[in-house]
Amino acid sequence: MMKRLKPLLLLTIPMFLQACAALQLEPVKPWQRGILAQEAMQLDDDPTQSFADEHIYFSKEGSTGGKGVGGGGCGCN
Amino acid sequence: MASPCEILFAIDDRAQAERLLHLAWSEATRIEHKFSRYRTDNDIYRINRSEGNPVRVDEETANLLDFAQQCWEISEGKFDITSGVLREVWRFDGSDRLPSAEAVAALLPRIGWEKVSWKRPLITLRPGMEIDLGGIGKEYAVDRTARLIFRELKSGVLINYGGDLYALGPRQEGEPWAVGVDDPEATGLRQIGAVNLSKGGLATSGDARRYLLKDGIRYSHILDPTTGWPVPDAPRAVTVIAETCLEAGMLSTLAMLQGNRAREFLEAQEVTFWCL
Amino acid sequence: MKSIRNKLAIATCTILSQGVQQAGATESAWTTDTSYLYYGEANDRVTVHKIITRADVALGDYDRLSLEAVYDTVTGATPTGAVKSFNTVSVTTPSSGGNGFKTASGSPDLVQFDDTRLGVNAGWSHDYSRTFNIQYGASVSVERDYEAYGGSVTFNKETDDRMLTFTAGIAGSYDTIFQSSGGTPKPMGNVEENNGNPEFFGAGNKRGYEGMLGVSGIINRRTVARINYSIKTLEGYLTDPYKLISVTDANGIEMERYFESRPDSRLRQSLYGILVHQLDNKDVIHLSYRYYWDDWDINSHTIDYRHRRNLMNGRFIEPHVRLYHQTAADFFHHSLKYGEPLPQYASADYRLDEMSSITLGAKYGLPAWGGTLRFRLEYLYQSFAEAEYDTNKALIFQASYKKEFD
Repeated sequence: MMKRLKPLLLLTIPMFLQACAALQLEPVKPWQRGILAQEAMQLDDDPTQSFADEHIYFSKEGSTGGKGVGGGGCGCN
Repeated sequence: MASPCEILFAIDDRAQAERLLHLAWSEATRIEHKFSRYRTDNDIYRINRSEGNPVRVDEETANLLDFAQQCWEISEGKFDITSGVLREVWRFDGSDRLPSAEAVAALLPRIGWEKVSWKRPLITLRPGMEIDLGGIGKEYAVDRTARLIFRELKSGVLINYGGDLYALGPRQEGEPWAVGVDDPEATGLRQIGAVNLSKGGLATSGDARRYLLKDGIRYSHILDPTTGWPVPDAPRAVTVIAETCLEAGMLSTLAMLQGNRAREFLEAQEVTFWCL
Repeated sequence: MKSIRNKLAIATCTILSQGVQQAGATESAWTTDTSYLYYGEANDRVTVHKIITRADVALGDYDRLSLEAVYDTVTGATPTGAVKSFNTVSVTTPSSGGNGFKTASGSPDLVQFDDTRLGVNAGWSHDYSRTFNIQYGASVSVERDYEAYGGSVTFNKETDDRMLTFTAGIAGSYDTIFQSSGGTPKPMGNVEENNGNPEFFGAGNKRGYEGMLGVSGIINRRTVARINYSIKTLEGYLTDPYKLISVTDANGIEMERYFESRPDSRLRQSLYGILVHQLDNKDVIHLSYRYYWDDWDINSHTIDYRHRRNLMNGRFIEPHVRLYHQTAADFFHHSLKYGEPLPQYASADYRLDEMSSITLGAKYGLPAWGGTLRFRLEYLYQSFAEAEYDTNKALIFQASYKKEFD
């Protein structure tokens, strides 16, 4: 499986390059934050989806967490 | 807003000042998002793509539509928020490229508030028609933002969004705000007037850079929605002082639409004005 | 020429006075988001139907309350960890009372589930100043064989220019674990001992304590990013009362079967980073990465990428890819060797095996009835290095509707 995943991991390199291009720091005044205020630009833009996903992967994988603290546990299989 | 914005008030608490600026900024962006015809996620967009179907609007949009209708009535059809489709043929880029008479005439069936069914809260446009609240939105944002800040601050504030401004309450020392009126053809270089303002709005209509010139005739960008053609002999710019920014903006726009009778119109309104 | 000024003054006065009153109203807006989720595994394994509903309301300028409820039903079979066996070893004490577990039509490698869960999360956020905010959270989750209670406090401090936000969070949880019949089996107890009546203890308890430090910042007009470090310690009964491990001979034939046993503490740590960026063409990307490690020797990498493209009329489409890989826990074994002494800890739970997961899917959103409707369809493929069931395939479908009220 890991062998099959490798090409996929390579595919993510352009994403990271894109991400690096995005990382040019510049001061942003309050009135320049129109784009950042959009719903799609929020770190967690769809809490219902991320809540469901966390639950799914918590029950199907050995690791969990990272985004924040708290939230209910479960005995899910 | 594609123009510089200025918010002036006197306060000694920096955090409070920043909070108020943030408040002003959120209100301005809220209004812009809500009424901009360039966005695809607001009521204006839905109305303009409704293809003859009624669209329900919220209270604030309904208030603005009511206001637009009143202005249309007051101006006897010269101020019309459905006239924006004329932009499809008119491009005021300083050239001599006039549209053909046929092209203009072909647009007229899609223009005219009288063709719109506006029964609060439902608006129905004929297919192909569009509305544009851009002629009201900025002044509305100025007045609202000033009132919002005044309510929080309890002392004077002046909001200036690209030359359309509103002062509410004097500066902290009890002195009025000193406002200079620029010559629109030499922005920032020469003033044509100055006024002390404690409470009131000031707005300018006209853009000296937007015109067409053909056969020695200058066509201003002020279009008459009843003919589809530029208003002849319109002033290059009109600046008006009135009770609010919205009122000043509307008076200056209506004056422009009067063409060569602009000055006469303004004199009849008994307001302070500059007409170039 | 006649004066229109009075008429105009009245009209402007009307609209402006109405306008200002509305400003207060929008601040106390409600947001609700309700969602149905289907999760279905191939080969009649686990099926989950889940309903999630969230409500958020601002109370005045400084407080915000949120409430989230989740109700789910889980049915189907899940691997126990035991090897697929042909010489059926009797392990059932189904409805005849006592402790035990049901097996799927006589195959002990799968256990049947039929459970429902109700969970509630409540949150309160208060702004103590323009740049300082604390969020308090509480959660309860109850199902037939598991109860969980948790509380959390998260501190957020912004810099004066609001370019950076520092976050610190602490949380505690207390869980009770038991089989649906009430108890937990003795760890590493033989399933067949005592003529098929293995020793059972009372319910197990699990305590968790966690801490998190994070910083988020505005990179530029179109980019925000966040980095978190999290640490969580768990202690108590961390074993899964339904999981088994087989002892097999050299040919892989099952000789004995034991309940699994896991250490009574676990220290989990993770680094998480996320970047949100709007591209030149107005598409928005969410790219996140997590590195996770714990003292059971599980290390994992998770990459998550969503790419949202806005379409006409407020619609959008958002493809999603998620890649995950973990190493195995140090006490994970496919099965134990017959004749060797039993280890203190052993589990054949596929979730502790070395694994790779890939999720591919897309979400489609559109405005509807004054709110936003979203549909999401995803395919999850997991592959395990050693576990008895070496793959898991699942389909995820979620439909959500979000609306704001004044």
